[in-house]
Amino acid sequence: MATIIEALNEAKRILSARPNVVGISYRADRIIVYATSTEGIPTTILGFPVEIIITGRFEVL
Amino acid sequence: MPIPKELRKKLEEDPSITGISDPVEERKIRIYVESEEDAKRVLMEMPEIKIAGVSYKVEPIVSGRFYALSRVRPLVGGISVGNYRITAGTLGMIVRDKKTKQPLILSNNHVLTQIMLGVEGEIGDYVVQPGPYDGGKVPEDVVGRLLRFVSIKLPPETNLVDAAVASVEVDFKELEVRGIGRVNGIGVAKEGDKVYKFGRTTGLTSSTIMDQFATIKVYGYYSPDTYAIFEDQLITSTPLMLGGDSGSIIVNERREVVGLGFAGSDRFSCANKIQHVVELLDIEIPKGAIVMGEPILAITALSSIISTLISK
Repeated sequence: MATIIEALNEAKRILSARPNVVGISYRADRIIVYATSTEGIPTTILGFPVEIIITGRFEVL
Repeated sequence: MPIPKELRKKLEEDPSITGISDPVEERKIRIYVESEEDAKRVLMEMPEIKIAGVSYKVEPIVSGRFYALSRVRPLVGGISVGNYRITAGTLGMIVRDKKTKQPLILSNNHVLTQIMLGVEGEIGDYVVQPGPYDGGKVPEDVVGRLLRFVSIKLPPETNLVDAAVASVEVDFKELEVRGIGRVNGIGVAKEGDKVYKFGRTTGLTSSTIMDQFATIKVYGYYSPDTYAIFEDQLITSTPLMLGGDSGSIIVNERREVVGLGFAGSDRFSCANKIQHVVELLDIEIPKGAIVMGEPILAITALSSIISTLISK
């Protein structure tokens, strides 16, 4: 079984690869993905469930 | 239709009333107040107002206190500031250099440098208060010079902070922030913590920490569609800031500084952890002398300000 940190590292790869993914984070039991849409985001990463939070992109204020 | 004399007098005499709108078509008159308690009191005291024989319902709106986007001396946190070539951001607060104890203006890199124009600029750049968008000019409004900043790196490199400091060449109040008072050192933000900020655009607002370990793409550095990646960031559950609020410090209910606001989306706001800011800029934010029982000014949700602005 992978660790949450390994899953987070995999999520970082998705952050870099997918333009609709604008952020990632984690809790003990899941990966959190901030995204402008759900397109192309897996439901699990290395066995950990993915919670998708829809948001506009982050911009400097 | 003009505001009746009696109501204008109330605006002048009642310090909790911050503004009164002209009567609107729906037979309503909006009264802006500092706090929820003030809103309840105003509604109890005058649920309706008669103007020229017509009855208008009073609609209290919690706005917090309004401040002019103008020159402010001595410098305090929460006011308009900026590199002389940008628009305007927020002066977080006056801190000290950890080694020399020199007083410093703390804000974001993108407020105190020229990064929004494509280059970060040079040490020694003028910093003006108010920011240029709010009328700040060189030389009369120069309050300091860019002293150091943490450079913003583009992918594949990542960042921890969008932060910079400038020297202070005018009077200032150290560790003091409008609407918040004197801060009380630094603290660690945790999920669920209530937090506050006072910024140049939206004044005093509050929200809750919903994420303390976020890695995010933030657009707008060097060009509008260029993004930088920030690791180990704080995210608030509702928008705490709008454009121009960048550079605001984020405090918890104990007035400990937990973050430096710099970015946001339509739903959330983002802040650097203050521990990273302090370490990378080599500054200190000591514990302050807090007057016990002194409350942070009444808070209004930013969403209510936005809806009010939209409805106008």
